[in-house]
Amino acid sequence: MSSETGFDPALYARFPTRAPRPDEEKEELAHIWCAPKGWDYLTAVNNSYIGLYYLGTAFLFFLLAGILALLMRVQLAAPLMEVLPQAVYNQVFTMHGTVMMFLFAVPAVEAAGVLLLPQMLAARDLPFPRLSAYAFWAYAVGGLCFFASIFVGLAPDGGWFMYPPLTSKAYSPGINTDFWLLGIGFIEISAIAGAIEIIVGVLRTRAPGMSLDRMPIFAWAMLVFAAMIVIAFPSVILATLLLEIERAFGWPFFDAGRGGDPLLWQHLFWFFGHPEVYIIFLPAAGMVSMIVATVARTELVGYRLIVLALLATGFISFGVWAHHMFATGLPPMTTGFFSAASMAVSIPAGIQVFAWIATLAVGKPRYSAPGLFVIGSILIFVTGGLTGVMVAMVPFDWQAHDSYFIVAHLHYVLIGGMVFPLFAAFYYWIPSISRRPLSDRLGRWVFGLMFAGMNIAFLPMHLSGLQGMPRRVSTYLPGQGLALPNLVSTVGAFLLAAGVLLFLVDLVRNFRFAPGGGTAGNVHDAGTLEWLPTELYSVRSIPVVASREPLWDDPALAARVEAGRYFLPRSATGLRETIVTSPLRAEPQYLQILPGPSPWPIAAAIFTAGFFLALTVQAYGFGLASGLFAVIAVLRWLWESDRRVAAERVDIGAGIEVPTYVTGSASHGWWAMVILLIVMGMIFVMGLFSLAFLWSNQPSYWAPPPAFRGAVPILLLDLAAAALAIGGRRLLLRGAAWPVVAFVLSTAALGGALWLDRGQWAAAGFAAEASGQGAAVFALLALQGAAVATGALMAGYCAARALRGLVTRPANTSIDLTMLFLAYAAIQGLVGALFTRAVGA
Amino acid sequence: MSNRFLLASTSAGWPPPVLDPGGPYAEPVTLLAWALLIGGAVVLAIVVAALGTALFGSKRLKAKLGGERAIWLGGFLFPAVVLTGLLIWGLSLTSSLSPQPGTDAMRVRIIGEMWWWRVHYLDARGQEALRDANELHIPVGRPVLLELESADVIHSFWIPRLAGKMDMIPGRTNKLLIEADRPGVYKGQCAEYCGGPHALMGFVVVAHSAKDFERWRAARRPADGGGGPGLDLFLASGCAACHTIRGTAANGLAGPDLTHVGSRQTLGAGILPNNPGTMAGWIADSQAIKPGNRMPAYHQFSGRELRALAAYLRGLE
Amino acid sequence: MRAWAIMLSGLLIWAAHFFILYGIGEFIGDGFASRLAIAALTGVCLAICALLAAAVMRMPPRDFFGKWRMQLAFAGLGIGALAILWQGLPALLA
Repeated sequence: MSSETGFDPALYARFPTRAPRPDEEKEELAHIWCAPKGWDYLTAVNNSYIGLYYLGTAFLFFLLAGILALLMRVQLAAPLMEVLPQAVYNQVFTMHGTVMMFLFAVPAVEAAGVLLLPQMLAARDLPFPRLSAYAFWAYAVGGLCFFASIFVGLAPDGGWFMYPPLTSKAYSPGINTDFWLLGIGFIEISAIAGAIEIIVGVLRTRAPGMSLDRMPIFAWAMLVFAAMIVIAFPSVILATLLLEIERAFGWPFFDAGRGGDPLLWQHLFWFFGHPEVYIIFLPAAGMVSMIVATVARTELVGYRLIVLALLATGFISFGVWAHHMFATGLPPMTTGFFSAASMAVSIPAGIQVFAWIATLAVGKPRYSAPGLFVIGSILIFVTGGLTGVMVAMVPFDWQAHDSYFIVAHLHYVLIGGMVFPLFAAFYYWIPSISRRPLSDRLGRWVFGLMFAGMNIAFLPMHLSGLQGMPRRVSTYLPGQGLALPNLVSTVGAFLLAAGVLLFLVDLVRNFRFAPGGGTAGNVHDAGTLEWLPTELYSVRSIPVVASREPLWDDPALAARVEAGRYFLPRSATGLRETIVTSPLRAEPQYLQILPGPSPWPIAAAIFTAGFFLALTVQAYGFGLASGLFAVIAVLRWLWESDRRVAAERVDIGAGIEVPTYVTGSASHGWWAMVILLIVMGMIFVMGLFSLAFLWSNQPSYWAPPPAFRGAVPILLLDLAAAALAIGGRRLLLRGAAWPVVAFVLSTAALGGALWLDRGQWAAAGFAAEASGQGAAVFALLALQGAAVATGALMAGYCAARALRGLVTRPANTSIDLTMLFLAYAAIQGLVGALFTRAVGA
Repeated sequence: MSNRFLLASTSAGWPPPVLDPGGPYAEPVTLLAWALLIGGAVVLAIVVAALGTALFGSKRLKAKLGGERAIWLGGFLFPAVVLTGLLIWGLSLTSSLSPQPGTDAMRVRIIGEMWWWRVHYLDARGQEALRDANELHIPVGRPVLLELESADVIHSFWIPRLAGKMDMIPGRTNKLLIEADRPGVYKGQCAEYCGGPHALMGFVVVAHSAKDFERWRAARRPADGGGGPGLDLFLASGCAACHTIRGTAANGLAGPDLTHVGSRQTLGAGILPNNPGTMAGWIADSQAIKPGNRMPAYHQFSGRELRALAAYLRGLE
Repeated sequence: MRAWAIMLSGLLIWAAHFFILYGIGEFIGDGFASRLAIAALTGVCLAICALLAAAVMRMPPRDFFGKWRMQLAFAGLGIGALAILWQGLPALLA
């Protein structure tokens, strides 16, 4: 066996250890990870709590958006019904789509990851528990306030993809649209935070020995999911920023009359929006792969093909966005590229479906509730996939696009690809967190009602689409044969709802949250680590993983884990901690000290929500104060991190010693910062694309940019900023003051470069309100301004830590991360200055 | 309310318009649609059969299904072959349905508005020859090149029996070819959500034989000026601020051109049959029929005035 | 990084190929030269896939995990190549 980090794999042979472990160790673990009481539930950061809060909130949004769907189905049950007035209907369908996509689907799978991944990887917690808590609270507070807009008639009414110019100030003067744009802001923040958490968690906190080929499929799916969020969400972050800026300040990004282009929004939105579908689907597919293996009582057939399918989907789904735009007049060759990629993306889906069938064929399936939901999900998803191939054909899509055929297609894909797997997951995984499993008997009824209801509701919609019924209509005229299919759809929708209602009954009767042990346990005889006996600290000791289904291959594992005979049978430092392992082979590298409960994440989340909501209702003073408090709260929670403990190296079991503090590119903080910088880089790249797109599509509005030679001092300043950042970090050896001084100078150089850049554009007669070009250029400058301001904040934070003697030497994570950020900002400034001058020069 | 909407009482909804092509730009798509629908059903049947075999099949069959070979065959090779064929079909069809430069087609510019359509017939040089609204008349057997634009937000032009849809986007002119094989009425409606009464933004294409089309075209002359009390009311009540009736003093541009409103099949952009009752009803309270549309309700008219106005407008052919 | 680059090689080549094609369609436009360039690029990418697949096959597996990664890379090159081939078809047909 070869090694990745220099760790000798032969050391694994020391486990299980022989000597019995003292019981006090277990008591200490329980004490360190103790359950919250009373108000402490708000400050909890442990994944067991945050994961459940998260999942519960997401499910609440599923119910709320489902009720909206029923309202729509009543209105459409017959032609020219007057149940919902047109204006209300337009809000209701917009909210249904928005809430289902943004507030239910993405958070629900993210929640499942937060809840299940640490146990599945046998980690004590995710690497950034306070970030998870912040992400959850920002989402919950913001999401609920956003949803409340419908009760006061202020809900957005532009459809969930919010095409301008319908959503621009001229045609949507109310604040409804602003609610959408800012409401989505929360979910963007929480999705990015969750993605960073999950990538670092999956790659760096796996149990020792769990090399990539032994990783549970769900973890693979969540890894691809999170990576896709990092690439896709920046596009919608930028799009929402631009539209809000256009609405608030009149910068014409999407106004064709002033050199903007409404199609720019569609590109930006769908570059996020289509991968979004796979962002939702992949984790659910990962759940199906896990559940199929267990219900079939055999290992997954084609594990490596499924891993490949997940990865391939992750890639190819970024080449399909314009298939939502086949009817916008794109040239035939361009539509062809997207048509081809849309076909290609169905290949990995086919591989997964046949892998599930093959697994069922090898095993002896049990028709328990999770099994039924999985089988149902395969059938529904395949149907949706086949209609997906149909609409990938450009000429057919010209007919089907924006009709009820699409409504049918997308519900088959999303209900088969996400909702049914999620219900399977409820029935499957609830025993691992509840004292009682859900009722299998009721579960079969729930499945029957949902499966029948789903098909009765959505199958007729294929027909009504071909009959010419466009989507998003608040009513339809009689005499077109639409009455019958619509009535059937309405009946089906209520059957589906009855199934969900029955599930709620089951949940109330049988769900008894038991995060601190006493769960129903491994009732399905599953083989993966989340079925080990766990307490709030996760497993008693972290096992050495030698296969994909350790519990099947080593029936004694659970008892030995519980007896503390593997890694970290105690708290080595007296604090919350987990083992950080290497990304490929999961070799132990160091012990990470995890932060404990804190009121600051929830405070930061509430102030973040206050910031966005105040902006929506144009209470700018209050908004600014909220934003300031949010930043302070975040800094306050960070203040307690990046501390060294007394013991530099500790024994994590069987005499294996690892460090307790690691800096540089091996540290989890470095990884998180690099991912964050990829997010920022993607936002910036999408901004560059926007500029180039407007140039290519609105050439008559283009003016020659300032000369290249003006960029020379900008480049020099940016290069100096980068050199100061990198050199400053090196100077930490000489004293903590050196990097701080270098960082302050670096920030000053960045600010100077930005000042020069902005001045040259202004001097050349450009204004942000004047043209699409001006708007795009000044938006890029504003992005750079945000980066410089953040860099200044980080430099100030380092200075404060240096003053309080918190900057450890010879190396320090806060200094490392500030260096990375400043160097990135310098590159961004440099690229921006060159690119904006090159487009149309 | 529903008895006012008797317009579309003839069609039963079957065959669905997408599968009932009325011209050469819809027909190949219908063929493709049938192939896809049937092919999709067959593939679904194969998957169901495979799933059934996996669950209930004999040991021998299960053994065949339960391995990576089955995954490669069913999940990779089979779709790869089928989809390659489909892709080639789809790409060549896309190109053959797209407007090529230099077609000898009749040209019409259609501009989407919230929530109706301007229709400008163009002559051979692209100059505007005739204005109308919400209804397009074409000769059978001749391709018609539509130049689709928008005056406000994004709309989408869709007559399922004649062609697929094409968006109308501010700042762009999208081109769409349609052609009808037989005389008749072909209905459609806006397919891109455009706010408010998007659901009630219909459109009608009327195809005539070549001879009838010439006759129809020749009859499109300005109104003769003699309008009696109806026209006086029209001019005095503010209608003329938004509507044009060529040959009279009414020259408003915000709303549909009414020069030939009496001969249209529908009122309210494809949603009401055109008869004296619906005409009077629309004038009196179009907001109750099509909430949010840009024409205010005129409750102030007496019954007699409404009848006079409706009779005058019905006479504009 | 190198390990990931090998594992994902087929998909990475697909991504580079796709975005260049999109860039040509969006910023340069349709024309004989564009279509020729796309066809040539498609050929080059397919050849790279084939060469990489041959190289991956020849890499000596150090252990089970190493072999698993090679298999993943090899199959990924297969899927990548199919997608690249399809991606090039519009230049010939559409």
